[in-house]
Amino acid sequence: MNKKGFTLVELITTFALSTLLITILINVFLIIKNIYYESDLKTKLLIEQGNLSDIMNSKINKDHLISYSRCNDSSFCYDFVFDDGTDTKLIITSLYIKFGDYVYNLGNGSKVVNPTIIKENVELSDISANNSFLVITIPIKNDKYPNQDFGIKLVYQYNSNITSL
Amino acid sequence: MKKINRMGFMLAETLLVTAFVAGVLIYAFIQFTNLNKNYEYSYMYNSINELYLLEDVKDYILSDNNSLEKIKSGLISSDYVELNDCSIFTDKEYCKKLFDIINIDNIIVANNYIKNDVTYHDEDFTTFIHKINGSGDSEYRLIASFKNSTYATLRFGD
Repeated sequence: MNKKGFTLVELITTFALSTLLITILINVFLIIKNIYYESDLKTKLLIEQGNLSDIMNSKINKDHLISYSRCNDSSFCYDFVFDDGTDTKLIITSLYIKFGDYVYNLGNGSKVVNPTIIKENVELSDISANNSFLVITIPIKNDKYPNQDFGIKLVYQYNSNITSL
Repeated sequence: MKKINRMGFMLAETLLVTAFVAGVLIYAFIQFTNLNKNYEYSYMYNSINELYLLEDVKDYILSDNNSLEKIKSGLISSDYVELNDCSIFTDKEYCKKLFDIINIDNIIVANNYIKNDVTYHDEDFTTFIHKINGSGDSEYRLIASFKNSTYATLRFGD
């Protein structure tokens, strides 16, 4: 009797185990590939978000904003005036966001979606406490990550009895 | 007598080696999955935008002496003081408006060096709490989750 070769059971077992190992390896490979491609762009977007957030928060919250006004009607442009007499422009176009000297170049499929500056008031009995908010929202979306917002939201708390914005 | 060919491996040997290799790869895969999960978490935890929003809450707490006193007394008997319902603040309406504007989902104040076994009714929030390591000389720590599924923590107080 020719006893060369493998039995059917041996073959099936080997194939099953090999399939398991290959499935694991493919999964690992796909995860690594995903991380590699995702991390580069996402990291850049998050760094820019952090920089813009840091610069705007540092200026507006620390330097005591006293007024703001639109600079022109054609684009999203606001002029912020501070307690120390300085003023800083916020300009948003389809290509960039500029706050003072800092420029965030939108690229790689990023766009600003409906930026807003709104004021909210709360009626308080204590007239010396903060009772108002200036909320600056600049949502930034990217085609590759449609469900994520890489923009900023800034909240400035003030007392409307002292500062009229 | 015909000579028996004893080259090659038995099924048992093959199975043993394959099982061993499979075990090692499965262990590596589990570790790698944990690594990937932590990588995902790094995007959800302590982003700069959320930290600045939490800074607004910190400023508000520090401006309200009543709330600070209630926090101090609350932390004597409990691991954390919940701020969600704004009951500790003098002006609840202002607090609710602030939390609504900055999209707070859950927010608590705890001691800076929060214990590892603290649990909250939200599992993801508890996971975040367990990843916090106290540091510095600040006495308290704000811990918040936002409605966009991000989390942030900030130290405050002397």
